[in-house]
Amino acid sequence: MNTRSLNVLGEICPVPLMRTQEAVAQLAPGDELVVEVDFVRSVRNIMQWCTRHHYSYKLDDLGPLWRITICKH
Amino acid sequence: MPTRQVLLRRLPKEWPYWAGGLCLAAVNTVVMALEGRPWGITGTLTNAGGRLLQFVGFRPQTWPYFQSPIQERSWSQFGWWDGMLWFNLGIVAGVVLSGMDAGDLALRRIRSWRKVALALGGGLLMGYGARISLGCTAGNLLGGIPSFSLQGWIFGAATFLGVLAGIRLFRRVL
Amino acid sequence: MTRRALFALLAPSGVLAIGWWLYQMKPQTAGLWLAGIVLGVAMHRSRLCIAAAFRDSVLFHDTGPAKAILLALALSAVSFGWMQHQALQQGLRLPGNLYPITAGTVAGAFLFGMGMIPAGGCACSTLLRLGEGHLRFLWTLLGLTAGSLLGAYQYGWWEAVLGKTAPVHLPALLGWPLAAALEAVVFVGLFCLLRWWEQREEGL
Repeated sequence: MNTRSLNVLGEICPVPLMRTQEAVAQLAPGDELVVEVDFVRSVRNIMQWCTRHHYSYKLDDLGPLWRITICKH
Repeated sequence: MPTRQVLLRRLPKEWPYWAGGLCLAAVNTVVMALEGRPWGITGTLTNAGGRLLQFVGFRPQTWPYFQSPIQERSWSQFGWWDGMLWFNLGIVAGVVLSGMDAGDLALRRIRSWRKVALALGGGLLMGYGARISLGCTAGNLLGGIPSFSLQGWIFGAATFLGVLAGIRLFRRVL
Repeated sequence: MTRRALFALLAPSGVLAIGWWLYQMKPQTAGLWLAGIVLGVAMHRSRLCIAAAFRDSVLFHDTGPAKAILLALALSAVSFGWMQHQALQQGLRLPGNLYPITAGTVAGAFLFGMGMIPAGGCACSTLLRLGEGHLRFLWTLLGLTAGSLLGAYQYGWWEAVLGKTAPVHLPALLGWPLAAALEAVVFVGLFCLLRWWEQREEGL
């Protein structure tokens, strides 16, 4: 199992989810992607996208930024 | 324990979209009842900018825009205590308070000049478009459609086409 | 006392002080200041955004914001319609945003929609993001103001190019029952369209 990270700090909608989509597409099943965002609207965006595609995710609220760990099954 | 935790922490952090929609409808109604006209952002910015231009010596009051009946009314009444101006400032203040309560308020710096160009260019397009169509998404969609006005629906449809074009055009450079 | 705690104490007091000051100057404006704060909190917490209603529906099949905006529009139509009806019965000026339709209505909305993509939000989101502390949106605000002034300067041309219609108030044209029914049908139709779209595979 590999863990990759994606830093989209400073990016605004719709860029964070677009980058996340690209990065998740390159993951092998079982891999994890750690996304760091500071644009609050994109957090909801990414969560909704994960639910839609049945990827499990974990959201860490770090105050001014959010860390979302997505697991590709 | 800081005051904010006692006073405000009880507010849930993530509200469902429909709750936002309900509040939006309620506030939209309150603004219409208090001010006699619906919420507008770019119209207020135009009035404020026009006053600024006047201050530095230009004569925007001679432009046809500020002479058309509806705009003339809000322009001639525009001053420091303009209700719509303070409504819009109130939105910013509300987000600041909400962000403090949630603990996610921070100054977020700009990380490249490309982003400045995108923001400025997008703002110019939106500002120009909003003025020649006499309203932004607040004035024409949230104000116009519930006013049973045809121009609100036309604005909505053309905005949708603009979004499609914008996605095609700008998706590579974002 | 940390800087953070000091700010947490000062900001709400500042908000109250401004409200009190506005109340002295013009009570109505104090009411609108309060309404703005309520809307700011609601939009921030519900992550609702008008630009997202268009953009995320198209790009990500995420129709949540669009459906919430439709809900807000439908409910506002009820209250606005009632207020308009009351005003007309009392012989007052018809309230609401009723504007002439010109070439600028279509062209302007198209440009506005295009601009929402690079800017990352509409005029409303610009205010929300400023409150969240995104300095980038100061530039958007500057662009909005400058673009608005340029648009106001050239507005006469857009009215002249294809002429303008009188504002079209649907109830005046169709009568209240038919106008209300028409808007209701469009709202329900758009809602069903969104339900269908969100279940489709992604890809534009």
